[in-house]
Amino acid sequence: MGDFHLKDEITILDPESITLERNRFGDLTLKLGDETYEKVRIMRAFPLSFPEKYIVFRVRNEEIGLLEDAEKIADTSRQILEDELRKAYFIPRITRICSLEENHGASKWKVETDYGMREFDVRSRDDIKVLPPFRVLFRDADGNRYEIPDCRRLDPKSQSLLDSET
Amino acid sequence: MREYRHQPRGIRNGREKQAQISEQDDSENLIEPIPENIRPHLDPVIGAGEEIKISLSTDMTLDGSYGTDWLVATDQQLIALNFNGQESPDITQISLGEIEAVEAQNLFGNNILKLRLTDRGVEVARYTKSLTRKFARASPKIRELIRQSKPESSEQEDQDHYGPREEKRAQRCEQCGRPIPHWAGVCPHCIEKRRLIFRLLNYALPYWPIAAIALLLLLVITVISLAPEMLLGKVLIDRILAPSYPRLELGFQNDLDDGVLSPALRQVLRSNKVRLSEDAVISVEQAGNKWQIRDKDNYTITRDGAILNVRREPDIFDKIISFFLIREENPDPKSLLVKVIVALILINIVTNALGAIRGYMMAWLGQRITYDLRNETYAHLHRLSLNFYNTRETGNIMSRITNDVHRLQDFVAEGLQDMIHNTVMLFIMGSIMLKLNWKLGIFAMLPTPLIVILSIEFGKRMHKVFHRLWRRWAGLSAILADTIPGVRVVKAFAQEEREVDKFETRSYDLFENELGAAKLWTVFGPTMQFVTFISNIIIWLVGGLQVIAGEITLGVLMIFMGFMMRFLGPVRMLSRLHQRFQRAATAAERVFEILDTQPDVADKPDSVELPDMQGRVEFRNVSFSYDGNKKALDGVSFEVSPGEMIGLAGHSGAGKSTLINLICRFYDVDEGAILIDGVDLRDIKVKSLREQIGVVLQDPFLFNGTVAENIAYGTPNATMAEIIAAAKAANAHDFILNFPDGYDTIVGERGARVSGGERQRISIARAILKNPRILILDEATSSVDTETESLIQEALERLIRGRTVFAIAHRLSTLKHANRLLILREGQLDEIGTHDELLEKDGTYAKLCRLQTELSRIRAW
Repeated sequence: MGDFHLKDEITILDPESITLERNRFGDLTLKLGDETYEKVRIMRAFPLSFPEKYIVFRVRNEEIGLLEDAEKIADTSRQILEDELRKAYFIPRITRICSLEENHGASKWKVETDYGMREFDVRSRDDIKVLPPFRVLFRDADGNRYEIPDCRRLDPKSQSLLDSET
Repeated sequence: MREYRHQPRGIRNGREKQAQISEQDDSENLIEPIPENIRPHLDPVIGAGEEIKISLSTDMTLDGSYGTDWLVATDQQLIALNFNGQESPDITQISLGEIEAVEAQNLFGNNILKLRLTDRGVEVARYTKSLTRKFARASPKIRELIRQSKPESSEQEDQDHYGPREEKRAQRCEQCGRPIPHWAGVCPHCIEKRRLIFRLLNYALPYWPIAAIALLLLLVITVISLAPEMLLGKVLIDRILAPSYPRLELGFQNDLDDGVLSPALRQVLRSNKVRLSEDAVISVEQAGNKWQIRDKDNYTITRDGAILNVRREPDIFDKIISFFLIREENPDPKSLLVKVIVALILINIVTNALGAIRGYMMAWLGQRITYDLRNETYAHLHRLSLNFYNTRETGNIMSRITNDVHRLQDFVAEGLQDMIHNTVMLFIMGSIMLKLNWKLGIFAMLPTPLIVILSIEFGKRMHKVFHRLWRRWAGLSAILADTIPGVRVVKAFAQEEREVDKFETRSYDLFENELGAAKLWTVFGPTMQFVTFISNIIIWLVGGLQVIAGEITLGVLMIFMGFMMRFLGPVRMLSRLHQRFQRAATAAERVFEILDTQPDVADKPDSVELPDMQGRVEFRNVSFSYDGNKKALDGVSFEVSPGEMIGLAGHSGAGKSTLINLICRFYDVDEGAILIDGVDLRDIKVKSLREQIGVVLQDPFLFNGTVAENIAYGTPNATMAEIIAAAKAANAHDFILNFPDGYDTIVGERGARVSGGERQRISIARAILKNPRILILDEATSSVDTETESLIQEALERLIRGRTVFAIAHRLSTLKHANRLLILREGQLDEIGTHDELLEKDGTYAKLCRLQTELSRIRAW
């Protein structure tokens, strides 16, 4: 029973040695030096606070390792990583709030997002989370997520609608 | 290794200081004056040269009835006078040398003081629970006397306390003896209201300019706010709408004979409500058709041909109004009306504007004081030791920071100002009314005492009724809180009907009480209305007569009517002043009690940091008691080398948790010392010590925040990678990643409920990240399924590597990694050794092991 060292507990991947590709099935493939992992799953450890950092690579629930900073890997791989992340974490950004109806604490939102128009219901104010200073996250009644990266950038009408709920 | 230094007693902590002080006080209380009827029985048995050290009366006799016995101790003997229903008492004399032990037996509803002699036991006094404290002070004193009487005596056994556990906190006020209400924690009768209010005002002191300006504004507003009534009466009615003294046209000439009014002129004047006194004509300046009469201070009548101008002598209020409004001699009514209207509008704007400014200033002041007080109290709460929290309920402490502080703000910002405002208002209105017409003024204020009495009486009743109502509501909620979560049990036992009946009974009770409250309201409202009406009627009647008689003008009557409307509100408010003061004072006391409590465990000025702790722990003859009576730990000594894992076992209440509390220095030891790396715990800075102690508790507590924040709670500077590593080591990484928000998941938020096993792993990660030299595990693997338990065990094995570990576990199997086991029994160290050694010894541990093996066999069945 050797001494315990915290840093032995995780495998931090060297960004230089990472190559991400897609195989012919479109699955994500991770090449790590000589080793190749197929059907790799990626997860964000801190999806809210550090979305582009601390990305976990896994194969069938076995952890391959942790990528500390997505920006450090080669451009082609990075493009693939970002596509993959965008697929795995679908969080449309709200650019405008068109209307808002409130009913007994639940609210119906009609918004413009970077993916198009969308209507959704929020069950309670607890599902609208303001991350200081200006980031706002929504979780709708069905578990979908939306975000406003910086609520100051919204137009005044959208801002006043948002203020009434946060 | 540093040498162990024992600190001088007395400066160690506040608790001890207090104990010493009260001991001093008590020695005086232990000698009660002996009444005349007892003296004759006592004197013969006390020898010359003996000095009475203790004389106490009981409130029960030994045979168990209420009555008074006496217990007297001199420096040589102890004398008990027991009446037992007889005229003269049985006298028991025991020489102090014979006494082996003094026992204060705490029984149910009464206590007995018993002396244990070499060959027998003697009960000497019996008393109810009311005298528990008095006699609790007596027994140590008796013991002291015994010690003094036989100086060679060795250790004597203190079997002082047994029986039901006594309440920890005083239930009665030490000053007045009244019971202290459960909710208050302080005696509402004995708090010095004035002192408290002044202390509270201290918090306003830094902001005194604001308070002064606000007060000034208040006075100005109060005065100005009375102006509209005066303007309406004095100008609008008396001079514009219904001038009481019109110009009179006379049809005759010979009205004045040698300076005396003719009866005809008197008649005319009288019919116009001008009543001149008999000796009215004081100055007559006759020049042709013009003359002038002055009637003392009341009237000036000027005659100009056939026209009589009657003018009332202006009083002080008229003069003030004239100064502001009417400069010319005979103003035009229309332009005067416009002036009055403009003045009314201006007054309204000014009072409202000043009122708004004042309101904001007071709100600022109130909020500012609350802010200071709230933060100071909260910061102080965190400085206080665990001992403070043990003796109080969480809800009670919380309510002090929220409700009580709020109440104080309300009082400072509103209550005090209201009081000043209302007092000033009443004073000014009263003076004006008396000045306008003292007779009518007195009549108008006649019903005031009645209103005061009614308001106070109603306030008291309402208070009672609402309390009752509140309790009923609480009872009803309690039923709901009980049965809805317990609905499975209700259904399983088919007790729905009974529950419904129970609810209905309570509900009806509430219904009746609500009606009671409604009745009170509906009676009070009309009663007050009626009294108000009566005072109005009095003014109409008395004032009306006065108007008819010409003693006052219609305008003055209207001023009275207007004032009466505004007079009663402040009266009612002031009637409830006492209640308001009382409430604020109690709230203040509760808040200040926190601020006045000194932390038991505090850093000494010369305490040291201990940055590179090895983890060697040594207990040297450690004794500790939570309440000063029962020893939770009693003379425990052992030594643990760095990196050793010690399993703590023993029955519940054996002192396992106490031992751990002492290592963490949540409390200071009473006797002996705990040394870490050879340094006395009390010489180490508390912060430095706790930084190197990690705790994984039975039911780990997670704060409202993200998972990452919770893991890094003890190490806020940890990097994200370190947090992930710690979570992995604690087998928590996988389930955390499976939350949609990963490490950003807010603990306890909907959709991310953290189960018990998960909580434990997060808290293990917390401890791993903190990397402490000394680790404390409190039954870390209870109540989880087998798979989770193995995950936790695995995590723990990683955690304990290379650290000094103290582990409490009821299940002995969880202690299999322990190097040595420490078995406690009733606060004392019973056995210490390895598993095998202890089994070999066949003592307490071996017995526990056998019991558990049997139990698990039954379970496995």
